[in-house]
Amino acid sequence: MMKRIRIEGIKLSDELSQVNLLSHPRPQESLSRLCRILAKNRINMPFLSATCVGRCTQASCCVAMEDRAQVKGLLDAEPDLKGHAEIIPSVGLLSVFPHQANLRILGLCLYALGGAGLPVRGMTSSLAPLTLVTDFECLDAAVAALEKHLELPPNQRPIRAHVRVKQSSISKEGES
Amino acid sequence: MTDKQLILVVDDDPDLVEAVSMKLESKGFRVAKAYDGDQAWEKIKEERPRLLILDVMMPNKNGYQVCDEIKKDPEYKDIVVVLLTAVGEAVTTTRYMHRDGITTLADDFIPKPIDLDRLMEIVESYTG
Repeated sequence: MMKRIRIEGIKLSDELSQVNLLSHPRPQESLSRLCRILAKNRINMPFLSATCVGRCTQASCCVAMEDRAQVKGLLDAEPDLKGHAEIIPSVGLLSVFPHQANLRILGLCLYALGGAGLPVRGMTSSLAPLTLVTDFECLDAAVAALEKHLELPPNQRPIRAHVRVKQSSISKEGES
Repeated sequence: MTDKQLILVVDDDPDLVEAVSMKLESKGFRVAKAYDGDQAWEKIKEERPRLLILDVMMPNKNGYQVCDEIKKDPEYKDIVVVLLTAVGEAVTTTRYMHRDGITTLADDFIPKPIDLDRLMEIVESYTG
């Protein structure tokens, strides 16, 4: 039995929708355009990932489930993005922390999810967590698969987010 | 002189916990970490920190509840509590009345997004 790696926690998101930008002739412009559209409509992105290899950029982001219909409408109404965006309706984020820049944790996560036949639709790391995107209905199975290789502190279960950040329309004096 | 006093950082955002911890450690503090209100209480009982940096909106038990419980507990009421709040700019006192009816008396607060230098000033003012 392989020794499990001790981590501090696993955090799970609410149900989200994933927007992937595909095969756009000017991929960097398309990402910038998408971000501007979401910002203008005060739609939060709990996840954003962009990969650049040579001149090819692939980008994806996640939005709250309740924003999915609005995002679809906005993308359909945007000639420059229409046909270049794919929406995966129901995904969830699974964040393992801290990663401590330990590539073994990354490898074990991919090995565990792959071995359990669970999809990995995106991945990114930040200061503390390594975040993976999988299907929302697979989050519990993903946790079970990861716990074969990663050890949480005693009596600790994954944290489920119950706080949702909404952009408010309140502006400070002097701001437009 | 900080003399390696223990600070407990509590937030459900691991990036924020990490960033604040790194700053505190660079200033010579010891740091304990928790990611929700229940874990915070476990750490308080296990490690007895000098000061808590406590987020308000967290799973399981929110920061207001934790702060309220600390301040009502004779054994722990002397622990300094600094609340991290997104409504800090609109608040001129550290006493809050919440929709759940809890009145919380924190020792200090700092608005999000956090100014780390300002947070260190606050921490050092209670631990110096």
